[in-house]
Amino acid sequence: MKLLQKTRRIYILYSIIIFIISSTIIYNILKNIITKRQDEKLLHDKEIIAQKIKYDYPLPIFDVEDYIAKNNVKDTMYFKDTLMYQIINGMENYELYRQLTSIETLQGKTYRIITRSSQVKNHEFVLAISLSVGVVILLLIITVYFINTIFTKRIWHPFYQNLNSLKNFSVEENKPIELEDSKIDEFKELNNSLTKLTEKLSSDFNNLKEFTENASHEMQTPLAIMQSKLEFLMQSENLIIEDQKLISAVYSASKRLSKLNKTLLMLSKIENQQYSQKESIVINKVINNQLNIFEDFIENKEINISKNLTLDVKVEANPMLFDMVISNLLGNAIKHNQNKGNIHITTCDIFITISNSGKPLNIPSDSLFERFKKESKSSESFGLGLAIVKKICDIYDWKISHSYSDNQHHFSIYF
Amino acid sequence: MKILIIEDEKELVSVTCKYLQKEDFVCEYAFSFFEAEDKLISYNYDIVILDINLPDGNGLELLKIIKKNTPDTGVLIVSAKNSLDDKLIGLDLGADDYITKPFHLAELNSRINSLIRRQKFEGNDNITFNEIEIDPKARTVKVNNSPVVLTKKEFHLLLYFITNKNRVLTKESIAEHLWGDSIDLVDNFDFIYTHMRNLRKKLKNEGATDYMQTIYGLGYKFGE
Repeated sequence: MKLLQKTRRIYILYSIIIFIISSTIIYNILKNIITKRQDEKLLHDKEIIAQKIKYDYPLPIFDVEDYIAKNNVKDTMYFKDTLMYQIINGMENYELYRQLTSIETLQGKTYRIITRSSQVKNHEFVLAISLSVGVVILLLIITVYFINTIFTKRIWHPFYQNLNSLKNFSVEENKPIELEDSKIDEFKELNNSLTKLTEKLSSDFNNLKEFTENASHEMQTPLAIMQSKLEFLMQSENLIIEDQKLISAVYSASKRLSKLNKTLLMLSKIENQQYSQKESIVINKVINNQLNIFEDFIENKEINISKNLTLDVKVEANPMLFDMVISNLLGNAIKHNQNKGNIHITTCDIFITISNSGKPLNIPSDSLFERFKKESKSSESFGLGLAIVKKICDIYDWKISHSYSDNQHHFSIYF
Repeated sequence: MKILIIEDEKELVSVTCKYLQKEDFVCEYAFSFFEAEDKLISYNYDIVILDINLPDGNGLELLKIIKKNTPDTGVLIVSAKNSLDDKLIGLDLGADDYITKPFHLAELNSRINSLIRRQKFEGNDNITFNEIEIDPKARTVKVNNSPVVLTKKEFHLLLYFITNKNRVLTKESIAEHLWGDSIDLVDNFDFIYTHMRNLRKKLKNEGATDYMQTIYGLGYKFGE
């Protein structure tokens, strides 16, 4: 849940609770006050009536002795709410009244004095006041809510902005992270820490890259010396077979090492973005070109090539890197093919697929693209070809995938 | 013949490369001093076309490396219009020829060919080895004066053997020479064998002696 959403929800929940409680309290207080006032009025009216009975004109007497005898009425007085039937403007309805019933013995006679007053007006009064107070509270809540939302947004804006730039930060891009300034101390501190952290990250990454590149570069010279001296040794006239075997073993080992070295150098160059220049490349041209280069290998294994190419499909990339992608994929398709197998190449606007016959993998598809992952330990290759392809695809945001069906390996790149 | 172009103007490299590839050269390129140094250390070239002004170093330093490691490599200096000093220093350091920017590709081609003639064919137009006669310009081969029809690869294979006669050539170096530097990413060089077999067969059919020897485990050798 987002921070803003969370605070908003809490705010709304508590506002509702507070609103309900405060409205109820206000309503009850008002009602109590008004009922009290009404009761006082009724009492006052009753007093006047009682005074009148006592001193002015005693009311016509009617006998209530029976009633008293039966019910044993004592002097008493009570309030109650009652509904009165009435007809107003020809409409029948019941109206709520407050009623004071008082039984008093005045000048030796027992009277029942009932005074009542309509509660409708009071009710309306209470309701009106409660409602207006409620509306004010509600308005207050809503205003606070909006102000809160706006200011929270404004305050957190640099945070989200920076979170975004942090998400987009790539140590490979070699650009310092751009953070939006904030006047809030906590955010300032966060920005400082982030800037320091990313700077450290970039410098470590660059050091590592530089180290890899320099190490590979420096290794070239001794390797080249080894190879040229071995080639020189090969020219010697009086070598016996045993010597030749030894020389050959050392030579091929040094070749392997130098190949590994070159591949690692290539990977670090790609990572260092030394191939940033882009061109519009016609895919089919590259494929046909690479097929020409591999012609001998294809003939050697008697592989049948079938193509389903869409004309004039272009892609924006560095020509050398794209050559490398196609060359690696085709090279693999040939290398891991059976004799008299087949290769099928499909191109269209959004993807290239290169399929080849071959045995199923014994490692998971995904790990194919990791460095030094290869099927068999004894294999001559290093398992770096697909790592290079993956790296190049990553640079251009292409998606590469592998699948296996019907004895066919399919490698697809989606642009 | 394998050529390395060391030049930082990418457009120029691409145009030159395309032109030279059409002329049947295997063409490699490097855009910077660093890259060129890597290539020169790891691979052999017949001709290097060297621009003196590189963004990350002086081309003359590369010239020194070339002349120290592989004196056989022909070096053609590309210099800016008015830099006589560069030309003189370059030639003094062992460069074989120079060409001034801007140049016509045809002129570059002619200079390369003349350099190859001097460097590899002892100044002759044609190369003769006993009964085999090669005309590199016309791309024809004759055995005892009767022409042999060879494929492009077979022709370059023969040329490479004859210009390196009596030397053991490894499969790797043959592959690099004929297919370019990137071939070393391939694990299996068996395909060379097919070309070797065909070449031997064709020469034998015309009555040439089989000068090719397989040196166990190492590679091939051409010679008597």
